[in-house]
Amino acid sequence: MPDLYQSPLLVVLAYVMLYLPLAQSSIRASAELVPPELENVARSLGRSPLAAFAEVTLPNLMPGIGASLALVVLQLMRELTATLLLAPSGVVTLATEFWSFTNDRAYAAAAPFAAALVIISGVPVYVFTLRTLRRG
Amino acid sequence: MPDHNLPYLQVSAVRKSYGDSEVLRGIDLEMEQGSILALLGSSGSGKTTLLRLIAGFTEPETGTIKIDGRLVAGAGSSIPPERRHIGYVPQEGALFPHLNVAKNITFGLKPGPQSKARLDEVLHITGLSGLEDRFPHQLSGGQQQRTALARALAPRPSLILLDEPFNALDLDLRRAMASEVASALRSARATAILVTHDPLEAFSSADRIAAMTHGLIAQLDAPSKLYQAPINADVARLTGTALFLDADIAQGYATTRLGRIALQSPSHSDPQQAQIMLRPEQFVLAEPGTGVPGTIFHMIFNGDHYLASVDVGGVIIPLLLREAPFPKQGSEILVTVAGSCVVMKS
Repeated sequence: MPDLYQSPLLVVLAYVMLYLPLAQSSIRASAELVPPELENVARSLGRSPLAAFAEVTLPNLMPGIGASLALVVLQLMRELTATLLLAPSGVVTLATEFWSFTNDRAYAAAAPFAAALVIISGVPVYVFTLRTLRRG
Repeated sequence: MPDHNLPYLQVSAVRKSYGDSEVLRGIDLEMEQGSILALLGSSGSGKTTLLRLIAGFTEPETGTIKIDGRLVAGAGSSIPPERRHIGYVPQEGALFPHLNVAKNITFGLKPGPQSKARLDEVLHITGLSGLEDRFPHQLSGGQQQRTALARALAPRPSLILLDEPFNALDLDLRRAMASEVASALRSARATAILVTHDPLEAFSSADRIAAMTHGLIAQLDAPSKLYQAPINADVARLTGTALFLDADIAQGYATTRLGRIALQSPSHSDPQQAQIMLRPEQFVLAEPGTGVPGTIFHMIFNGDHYLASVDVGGVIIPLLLREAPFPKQGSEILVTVAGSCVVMKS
C-alpha cells in the first residue's frame, strides 16, 4: 500500500471515483435517446454487432460523450482536496498552486493561476452555451 | 432457381418463453414467395416475438425456421441477422438520426454507382424523390415510415418484416399508408410479413392473414374468409365487431331469438346447442309481416348513417340505418338477419 500512496495512479483512481457519476449521468441521458432498435436495423442491413455499434450507436452517443468530457474537465480543473492529499510530492496543478500561494498570502503570485483557471474553465462553458443557443 | 413447390418461409413448431411466460406455444407458418402475409393479433399475442425470431434478433427454444429452403434458426443452427438478408421496418421507423434520407436508404448497399441507381429506384417506388438530403427530424411521420421502408427495400432482401410500422400515425393516414406500402411492396415483388393489430390495415394490404391468439396461430386464411368465417370467438373479435347468439343447430339452420338463420357450412348439421357469430352489417330492417319485433332504445347519428341499438327480446343488436325515413328512438321495428352465420367452436 505505501507504494500506491502519492502515486499518479492513485490520483487518477481518485478522480475516476469522484467524477465517474458525473460523466455517466450525462452519457446516459444521450444513450437513452438511441433506441436499441437502431442496432437491430443495422444488423438486418448487414452489419456485425461491432460495426452496428460503431456506425450507428457511437455517432449518436458522441454529443453526450463530448458534453460529459467538458463537464468533467471543468470539475477537474478546480479539484483540490484529493489532489493535495494524494498527488506525489512535486506534482502541482493550477488549483494546488493557487491554494498554496493564497495560503502564504502571496496574492499577486496566486493571481496568474487564478486567471488561468478562470480562462480554461470558461472554454467548456462557452462551448456549452453556444450549443444550447444553437439548439434552442 | 428456387423450388416453387416448397414454401418460401417455413416456421415449424417454434416455441419461445420470456421468464415464466411462454410467448409462443408452437408456431407453424408457411408462406409463398412474392406474397404479403399479415400477422394479426392483440398486444401480448406473440406476433412481434415471432417477427424478431424470423429476423434473427432472438433465438427460438425449440422448432426451426427455414427461408428459401435454408435453415436459419433451430436444430443447432443460428444464422445471425446480418447474414439472413431480411429487411426490417420497426415500429416508429427507427431511422438513423445522424444520417440524411439518402444515407439512411443506402446504408445496406455497397458504395458505388449501382448504389446511386438503386437509391433513385427506391426513392421513386416509395414516393420520396426530392427529399434525399433531408434529415429524419425534418420529415413528417408518413415520410419517415416511407424512408424506413425504402431503406429495407434497397438491398433487395429475400423477405421484408414490418412491425406495426404505422402505429405512430393517426388512423386515417395509417390505413392510407398500409395500402400504399402494400402496392410499393408488390411493385418491388417483395415477400413481406406485416405485423398489426388493426384488422382493416391487414385486410387492405395482405394476401393472407394469420390470426394470432395466446401464442398460437389460430387461423391462417384469405382476408375475406377470416372475416366471414372466423374459427372461434377470439378470431371473430380480432377481425371486427362480432355478435354472438345462443342457437339450436339442426339441419343446416340455427334457430335463435332472431329467427332461423342459415349456416355457412352445413357440416355443422348435427343437432346441438352452440353459439353462432354475426357481423353488425347482417342486421337489417325486415319487410312488414316478417322478422322479429324489437325496440330502438338508442340512436347515434354518424353522418352517412344512423346506428341504432335495438332490444330484441333481451338481446341488444346494432342496426345500421342508411335510408330515410328513419324510425324514432323508442319505436317498435321489425328486424331480420341477412346472409348466413358460422358456428363458433367453444
